[in-house]
Amino acid sequence: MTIYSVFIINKAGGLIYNKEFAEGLAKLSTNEYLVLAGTFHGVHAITSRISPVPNSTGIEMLQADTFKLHCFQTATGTKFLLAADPNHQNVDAALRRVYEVYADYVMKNPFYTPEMPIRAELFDMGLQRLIKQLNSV
Amino acid sequence: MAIYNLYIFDRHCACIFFTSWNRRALPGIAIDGANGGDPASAAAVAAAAGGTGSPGGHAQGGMVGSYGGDISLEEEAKLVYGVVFSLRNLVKKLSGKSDGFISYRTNVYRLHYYETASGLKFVMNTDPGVENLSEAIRMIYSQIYVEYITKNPLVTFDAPITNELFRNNLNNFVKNLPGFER
Repeated sequence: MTIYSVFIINKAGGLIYNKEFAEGLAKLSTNEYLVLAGTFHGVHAITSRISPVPNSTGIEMLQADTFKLHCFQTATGTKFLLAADPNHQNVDAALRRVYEVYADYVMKNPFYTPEMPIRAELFDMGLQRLIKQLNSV
Repeated sequence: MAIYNLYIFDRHCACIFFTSWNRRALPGIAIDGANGGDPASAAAVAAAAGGTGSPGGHAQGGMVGSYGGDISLEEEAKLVYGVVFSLRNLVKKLSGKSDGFISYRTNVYRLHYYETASGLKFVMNTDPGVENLSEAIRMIYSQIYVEYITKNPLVTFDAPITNELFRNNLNNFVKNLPGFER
């Protein structure tokens, strides 16, 4: 029941935050993470388009052999991605709590420019605390 | 559980088969295109008969792909292939081994993916409740595709599938999957 990484993508598709909390995903360079975020942003848009049933959202959960990637899109177009092990239950609740930490330490930070990479120490600390708590359950 | 549609792509990235079940056809769009196997002519049939389509109709017995989308089947197949290709690469990058991507889910559908060693890709859309269709798709490949296409001496490879036996067996198999709703 471990959470491997957290990624945050802004509404233009740029990666504004990524952090690894546990071993589980391959180690990639920052550039590669940027490319992956852009790819995911594009795929997310297309998946609502190719739906066999009308009115679909984009990808909410991607399942692979070694991990599951959950995506939460806010009303403003910001996407929160959480990569966890495949048996992790209740990742949606975890995503909501990450969003809460984001709202408290990033959005309410008067020195933070929206859609820019996140460089807030309190956010890092808050997120670290939250993930540590979730991983130790 | 409802199964919506199935795409089969060959190793040259072309869609060689498409069929759908349970798809609510839109009024004014052609129903019962006789060429469920060939995407190009399915689009042509849809365009030609567009004005006379019966509202709320459904392909007879769900046998043939009734295409009721707002973009052509060819375009949609390209988008589907693109999505599947990108996600496969994304998973390969993140997990370090290929063949990792299994499925993805949105709020209204779930896409299952299965790739064979020969580069044949099966993409199946179902409702979000279906957990794991890999086994079923693997059986579609080994018991229907291999039997009626690969072992068929008259079928040319990498061409659209128009074989009646294949289509009939596929429909029977899918309809007999547990919980399939008509």
